[in-house]
Amino acid sequence: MMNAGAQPGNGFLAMRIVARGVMIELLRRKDLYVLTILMGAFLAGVLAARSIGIENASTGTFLLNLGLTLGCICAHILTLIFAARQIPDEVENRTLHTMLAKPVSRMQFLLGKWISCALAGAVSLIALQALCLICTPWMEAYSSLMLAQMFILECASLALMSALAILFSLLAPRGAGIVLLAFIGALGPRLTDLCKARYADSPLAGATGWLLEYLPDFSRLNLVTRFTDGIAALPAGEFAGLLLYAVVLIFAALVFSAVIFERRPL
Amino acid sequence: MTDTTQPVIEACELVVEYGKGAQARRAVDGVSFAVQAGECVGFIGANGAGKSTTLKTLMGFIFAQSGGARIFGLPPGAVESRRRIGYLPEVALYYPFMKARELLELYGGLHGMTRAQLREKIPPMLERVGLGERGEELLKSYSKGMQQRLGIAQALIADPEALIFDELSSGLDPIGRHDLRRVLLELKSKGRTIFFSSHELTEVEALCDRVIMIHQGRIVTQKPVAELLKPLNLFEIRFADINGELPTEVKEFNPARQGSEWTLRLDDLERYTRALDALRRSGCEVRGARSLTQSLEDYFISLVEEARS
Repeated sequence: MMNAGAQPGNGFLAMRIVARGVMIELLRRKDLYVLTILMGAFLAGVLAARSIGIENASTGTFLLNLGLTLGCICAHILTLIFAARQIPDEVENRTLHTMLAKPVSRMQFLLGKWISCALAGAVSLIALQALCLICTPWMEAYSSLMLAQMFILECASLALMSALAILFSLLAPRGAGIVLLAFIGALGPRLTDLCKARYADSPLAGATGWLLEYLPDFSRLNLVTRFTDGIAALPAGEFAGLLLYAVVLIFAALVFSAVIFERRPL
Repeated sequence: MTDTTQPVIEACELVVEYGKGAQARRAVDGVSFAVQAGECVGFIGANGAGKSTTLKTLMGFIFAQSGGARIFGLPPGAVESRRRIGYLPEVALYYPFMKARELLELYGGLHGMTRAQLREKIPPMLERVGLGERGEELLKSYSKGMQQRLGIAQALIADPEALIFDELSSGLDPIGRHDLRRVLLELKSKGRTIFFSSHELTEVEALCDRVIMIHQGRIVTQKPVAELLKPLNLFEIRFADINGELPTEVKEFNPARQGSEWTLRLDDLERYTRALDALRRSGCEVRGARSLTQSLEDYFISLVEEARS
């Protein structure tokens, strides 16, 4: 009796449809305006600098570094805020029951949300950084391979941010999750060093060090300064290692999220 | 396709609790029932009786402490069973940033409908629920009743074999209720299985083959509607007097005045016939005479009061 032509949807299709819904949301909400304003301000700044005249290589490098870093930060903030509100919003707005009454598993739903938020972050990152690259002069020392590695690792970093934001939104109230993750993203490595130094002489040193190793370190995936300093591309092994680091963390965050979400009464 | 020997919806000794330990409150307490293919069953009960909790458990949104539920023979929440179900939640709210057409595309797409099928099906579906002109408006501009109409459309979009509606006509105006009743009767005539909870007992009376009544988490009765609407052996006559005077032979039946009319209630057929003869003889104008039957509402109230006492 099912609709004559209806084909049972597969998992990938379900994820894609969930992701499409998120993309419509992104295009219709104010986040996109914020991004557009940021891009406009950014473009105006860079063009102003160019019209004044970039007199030497170090000024050009500084501007490029600043632009790429700002683009990276903006994309991460956008991804964090957008991903962290996906599931709490579905619960608060009572749209989750209708969605999960359709032939889509909780896992597919979660993956659809994650992938769309990561994708939205990646698109905004590429847009902001491409704008920056177009508007600043290209120095000979810059490596195209390094640039590609930088983009890939930053996209992995955004995917990690999206996965962690979803996980934190399932564990803590939305605001607390955003603050905590922003704190980890911004101060992660410094926090780790501080804790290691604080507990260096205590009997807890071993346990603290072990625990802190699991704290995601977003700075490892940020190659902006290496690129703008004109350092050569990473060796394949090191690059693969960093990518694997991101993939393992993303996988762990998604598995934890799925386990929590599967068991949660809605 | 539906296996006709297997119930479409089945609950067996279902127990659902909210809270843990000393705070635990049993919302559903050993509920068992089955809905067969092609049946239209109403699930009724007072507020907090456990209707929505039961339906949410059937859909896999909340988990039972013990007992079991199956839909099309599969455990609650199974993707395969959801392919064959249309569900309307108790509070139907939809993405405010979407248009009605986009929302139906999203939900229809999850059911595996192709773009061509969606293009063909969405406009008549919106028309059917009375939203034909509003398909391109953002849902944030929709009223509660319009959201409920859209909820019905999303439940029906993939032409499912079974429909589960939680609070069927919540938020609908009389026209909306009338339209919905028409749609459900049409689906019923096509042999769809319909299971819904509602506070509108007249609606349940008009649509359902069978009623399951729940009170304080337990099922108190499940019977065919026809069996519940039994004659009461009570008769009622409405009449008008002559020039404000009641004839003596009519007075002995103790009529009660209701506005410009009089009403007589008689508890046996012989007195009813005698009263009618007396009214005719005295020249009173008989405006209505009927045998009273017990309504579903009467039955529901008497059962709840019995359970309370």
